[in-house]
Amino acid sequence: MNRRSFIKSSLAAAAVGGPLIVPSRVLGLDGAVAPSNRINIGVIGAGGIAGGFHFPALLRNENARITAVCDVDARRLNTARDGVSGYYANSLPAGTPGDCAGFQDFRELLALPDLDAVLIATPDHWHAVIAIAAMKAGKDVYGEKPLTLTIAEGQAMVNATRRYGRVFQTGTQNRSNHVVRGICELVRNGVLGKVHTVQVGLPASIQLPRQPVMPVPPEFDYDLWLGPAPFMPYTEQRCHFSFRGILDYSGGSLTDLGTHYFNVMHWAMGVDHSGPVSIEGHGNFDRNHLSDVANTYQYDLEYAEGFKVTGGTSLPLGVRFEGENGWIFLPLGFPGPETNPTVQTPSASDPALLATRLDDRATRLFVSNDHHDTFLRAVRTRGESASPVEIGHRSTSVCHLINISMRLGRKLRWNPLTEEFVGDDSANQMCSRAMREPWSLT
Amino acid sequence: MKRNTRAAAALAIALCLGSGRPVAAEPATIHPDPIKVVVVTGDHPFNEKTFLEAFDGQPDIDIVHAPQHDHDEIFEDVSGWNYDVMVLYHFSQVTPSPARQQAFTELLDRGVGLVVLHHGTLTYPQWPETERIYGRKRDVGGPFGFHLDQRYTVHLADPSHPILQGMSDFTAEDETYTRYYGPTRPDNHILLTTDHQPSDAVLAWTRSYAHSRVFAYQHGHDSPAFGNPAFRQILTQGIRWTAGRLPEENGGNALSSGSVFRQRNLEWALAALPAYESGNSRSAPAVIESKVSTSLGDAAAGEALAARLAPLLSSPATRDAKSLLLRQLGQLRATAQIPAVAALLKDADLSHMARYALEAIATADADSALRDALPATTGTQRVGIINSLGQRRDPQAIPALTALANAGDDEAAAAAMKALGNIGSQAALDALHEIKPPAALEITRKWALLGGAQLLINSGNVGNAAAVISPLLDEDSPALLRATALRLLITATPADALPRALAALKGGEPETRRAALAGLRDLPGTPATLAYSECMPALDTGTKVQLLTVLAMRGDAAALPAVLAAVTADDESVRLAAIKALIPLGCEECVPVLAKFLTGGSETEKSAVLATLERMPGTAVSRAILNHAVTAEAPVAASLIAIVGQRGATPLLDDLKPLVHHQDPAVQAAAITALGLLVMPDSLPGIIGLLGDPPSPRGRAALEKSLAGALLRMRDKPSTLQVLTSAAAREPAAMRPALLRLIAALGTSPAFDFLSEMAAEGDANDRREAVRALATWRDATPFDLLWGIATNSPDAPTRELAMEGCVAMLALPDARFKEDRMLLCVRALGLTGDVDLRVELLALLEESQDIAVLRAVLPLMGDPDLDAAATATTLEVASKLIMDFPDETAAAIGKIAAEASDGGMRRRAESVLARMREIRASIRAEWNFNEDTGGWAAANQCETALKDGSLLIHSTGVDPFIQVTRDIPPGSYLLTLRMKSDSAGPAQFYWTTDKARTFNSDRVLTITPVQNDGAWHEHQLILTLDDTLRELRFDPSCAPGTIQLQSIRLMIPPSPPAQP
Repeated sequence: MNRRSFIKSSLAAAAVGGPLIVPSRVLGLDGAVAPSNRINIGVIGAGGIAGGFHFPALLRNENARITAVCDVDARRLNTARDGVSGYYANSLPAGTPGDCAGFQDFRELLALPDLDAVLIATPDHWHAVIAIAAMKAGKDVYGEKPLTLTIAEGQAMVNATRRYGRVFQTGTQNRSNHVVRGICELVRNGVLGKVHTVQVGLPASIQLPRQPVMPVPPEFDYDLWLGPAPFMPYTEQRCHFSFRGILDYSGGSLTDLGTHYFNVMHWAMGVDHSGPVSIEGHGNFDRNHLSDVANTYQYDLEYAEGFKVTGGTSLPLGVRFEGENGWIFLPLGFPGPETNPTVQTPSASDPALLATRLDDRATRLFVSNDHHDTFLRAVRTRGESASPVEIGHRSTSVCHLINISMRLGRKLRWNPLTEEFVGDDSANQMCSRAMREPWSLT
Repeated sequence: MKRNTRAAAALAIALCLGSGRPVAAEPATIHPDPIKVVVVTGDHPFNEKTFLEAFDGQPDIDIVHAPQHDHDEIFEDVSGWNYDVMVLYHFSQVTPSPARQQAFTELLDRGVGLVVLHHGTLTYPQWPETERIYGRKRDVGGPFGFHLDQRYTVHLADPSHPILQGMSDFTAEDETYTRYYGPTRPDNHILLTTDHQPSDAVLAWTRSYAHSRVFAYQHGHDSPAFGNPAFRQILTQGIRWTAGRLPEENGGNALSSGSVFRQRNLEWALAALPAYESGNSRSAPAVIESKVSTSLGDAAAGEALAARLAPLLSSPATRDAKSLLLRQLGQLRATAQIPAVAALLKDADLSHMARYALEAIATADADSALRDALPATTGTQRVGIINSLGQRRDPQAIPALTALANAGDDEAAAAAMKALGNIGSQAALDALHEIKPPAALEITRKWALLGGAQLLINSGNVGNAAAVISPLLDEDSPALLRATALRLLITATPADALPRALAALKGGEPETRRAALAGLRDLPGTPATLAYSECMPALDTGTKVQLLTVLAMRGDAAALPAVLAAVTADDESVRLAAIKALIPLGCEECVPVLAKFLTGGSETEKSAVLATLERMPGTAVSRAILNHAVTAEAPVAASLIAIVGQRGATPLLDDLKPLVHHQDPAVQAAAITALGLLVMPDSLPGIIGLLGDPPSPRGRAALEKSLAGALLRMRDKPSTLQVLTSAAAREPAAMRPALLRLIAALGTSPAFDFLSEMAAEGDANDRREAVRALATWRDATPFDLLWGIATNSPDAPTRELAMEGCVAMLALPDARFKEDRMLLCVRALGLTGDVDLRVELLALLEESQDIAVLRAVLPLMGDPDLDAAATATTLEVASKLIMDFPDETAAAIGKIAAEASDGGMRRRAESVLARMREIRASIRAEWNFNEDTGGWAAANQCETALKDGSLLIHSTGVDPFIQVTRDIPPGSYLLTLRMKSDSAGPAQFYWTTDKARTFNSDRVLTITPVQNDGAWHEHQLILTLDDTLRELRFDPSCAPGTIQLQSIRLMIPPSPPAQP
């Protein structure tokens, strides 16, 4: 029995002979306090962000039960599945079902009728295909950022979320950080007066040295890892964490962290459903490495709402709002859990700006102090998530727009209403990419 | 995230930020295409300013200076290479990595001109290929020699060579080398020679390597050479010659523009690309990608480039090469090459990459190429093409897709139906209606219809969309499909869909119920709100919770009665959802309803109610909360008052004031906190007045704290200060201390001026109170003032108050103290008699590494109040000084070992003494600079002096050094050095021995990196001598500046730990 068939057979045992997991949806007990009200969730992609962030958060959340995990790499899959099952075996009362099923192919996970939701923590090039398939299969989705690889994928995800009536939350957990929310509320309520400029500083992208072609490890379903991306011969650094350096799967640090930072900027400026009208980016692209994303870059954006965004990899990491009354800088670092220490103390031209107390007529922003719990609550109540799909799509679009400008080497005009470039066919063509067969967004 | 950024960063610096030196003239008009030159330096000091000036005044030469920090990182990534010529003036003695070697030689293969200059000709002694590249050949008959400041005549060996045109013999003042170039290689073309001794005879030559021209030139050590017009002319003519701008030989032809490199680059890449395989050098792909990138804004150039690339698709090139070409052709979107691309649609390996290119080309030709490939393909390849046709929404593909849907291949049929849904036109949907798939694919057809219906809705064709959707709702379809159909129908025709939505809401099927809930966002108007609200009683608990949540998201106040009714529902989860829903929907009338939970609800309900009360918007709500608080029992009243403060209900400030004197302390405290949160600049005087009539001493302290917090919010600090100072002048004396502390809490310069003026000029009481207030300042701003008062005031209590503030500030991490902090602590120790302050100061002094501190603290050992603290500080400080002050520290530590009352302290002292003896015994030579220079003397471009137990070196040039004579026997030594520097460049030790009597690069130790940051740093090196050392030389930097040495030691290295 090879490893893959072991996983499948152990799954079959779990599904057939194992304890029955009662889906809360089937019982119609949403909102009730019974244990069966817990959300059954499947985690697709058991890499670093899942292991370091999602699994711990979901395992300790009494409203969730991880009932299935999926990874194309059986080594990761086994570790995750055994870890989840082991955790529940040790923490749940005796006799409580806690076995976790494992799959290498997400389609098998999505076919489980007893799953309420999935959490997608795969590389970026898989996000849209899996999310749309999951929603079509009746699952609510927590989708890791950056939401998409292309703008067209984001549009398709927005449409799919509405069409299938699903709850969707983007993994931009700054939306559940009270420090970030506080600063965004100050800016939104005009503490700085009219904000004319926002500076967004990002880190340089990962650089990957060239590597020789290698044999694919037997535990790794490389063809499924590539999925819709163009075929390229296997080499270790192409996959797992370092995919972030390769344009076939990512947009570099610009999408990886930019989506967090622009998300915060959009929140503060009240342009969650908008975007820039003018984009000019300049990047230094790797050409002799395995990585081919822009390593360092800079950009200038203009919003029709009357402010400019400027930034790149030469500025401190974070978002700086400049207005008539002074400036506020929000350091963002590398966002982790909501209690993330890298969201450091904000600074301002006058500390009194930060101490401002808003009155009882002020605009207040959506309150979430636990990104996972807010998602689970939204699944249960059909309420609002902390970072709905439109918001994730629009903030990721900013990153894609800059990347397109950098790759074309010219300033671009964008219509945020129609989501099209103005008078630039080449740029519009770069809003989508062909997918390797048999994958598509439908 | 760890990154390998060194090479790219260096190149980026070179490209973007480095000392690029655009020529002074007007290259745009005179030389439209200047020669791009990169000047590579590193691993050797040189006068950057005068060296780079040698390139000035050449309108056709555009240089970029690329200093190397890792010997030659410029060769790490040559994919973006854009220089016609490289001038190598670096001195790496480290053989480049294989990848860098390959990159270097590849550049020469691509025709980049090469100038190797002076010590640049000596790089890479262990890399044999450089003999063929540079044309040098090391004479191994004796040791290499270099000879500074030689003056000699240079002869032109071939005056007709283009580089030397118009020149004659000249005089040079420069360094020479001996026994390096030796017998010249026979294929070198000798240009310059000399008869001078000591010097090798040949000074310059040309040659070729791969496709490049090479010019090697020995001159160029320092400013006298750089300033020599002959040197400048030969250097710049050499650059022109290697670029191809001068004929190769006399009588030949030069290139009129461009360079050898630019001519050969694309040709080279096209020739190299067919062999490209993933993982190998990306230089050829990079050249092509770069050309494509620069062609993107120019359609004609793009088509021309595509015409060069496309023929390779039908060549025997590798799969990786063709894959790369297809990506590039997709970027170029060259319509003329569609046939060449489409030919690969049938290639099993490259079909998807051909589609990658074709999907980017928005012309009918690309559509027809895809359609035409359908009959010739099968399996997943055909599925891919079908997907592309759907993605492109090609209306002409409808017949072919319809045929495929009926053709019996399930995979193709499913893809074809999805593609028809993606096309989404009425014709496509009509075709979908006509298709009769096998039963297993019927569901696919229905999903495709829904996909098409969405596109109809998006295009505004809602009537037709509804016609497509409605039958799917009534059919015996799976619940998920019917739910999606309902959701789309609500979007298409909301009014017509409302009854269906309400039925689904009340129905028993979870999926359609969820669709009805999700659809509420697309149902306009209050009637929909009311209709949904009216369903509430008929719903199960879970659905009630969901409906309340969705109604709250909708934000229509028409739902309020239903929500308020749900606040008293039987089920707690429903009550909680209703309480939360009141945040957007609620009003002041909800306050009494909610407040009931604060006395009778569960903890969960109380928590939910408090959250809702805090976030329901509007001042009317705030007032309702306060009104309720006034009549509520004390604990509830306090909670509600706290909420009024949190809500920022500033208009209610005056209503809150009386509550400061409420009989219940909890209510008092809540009111005081709330006042601090609500006070604004205009209301500040009124609140300050409360300080004169506090409910209690504790209440006054709380009010002061609350106001101090409020001051941080005051943006108009001058006006705020005015309010406070006016109050201080106006209000009774009893309020003044608190007001002065508030002024200190304001923390502005004018506030400081006000208090310092009062401290200087007020009456005795004023002065004392001002000092007391200044001592509470949040940073060390008032330190100097307080220090002056602590040392000079005639009033003892004032002095102690000031000193108390000073000690508190000395403990702050304030940069202003720098190295004075310890000194100030010592002085404070002598000034204050307060035991607590002195103990605190001794604790601060434990950080010190200063002998003066040791001397000050030592006498305090034995003092009945201070003995323990003084002993601890003495041991801590002395332990850090055992190397530099061995006798004095040994005495102090010995005293502790012998006399300390604390046994633990005695044992620690004994342990330090033992370690000290061990270290001292290992020292073979030591210079501490406490009393003299120990024989070290300035030898070149510097001056020396003793200062504060260190040797001060003032460097005046680029090659400063000091020397000492000392005999050190052969052996291996740990060489330690403590220094600080504000100069630049690495520091080096050279030495002579019995057998080797000159300083040269055979015997050198380099300290890298030297942090020239003006702070003390300790360095350790291993010095291995196979012969007796006679002289030691220290080159502290490569630039003017100040360097301080505290110690140099040669020690026997500690034995390595025993191997297990």
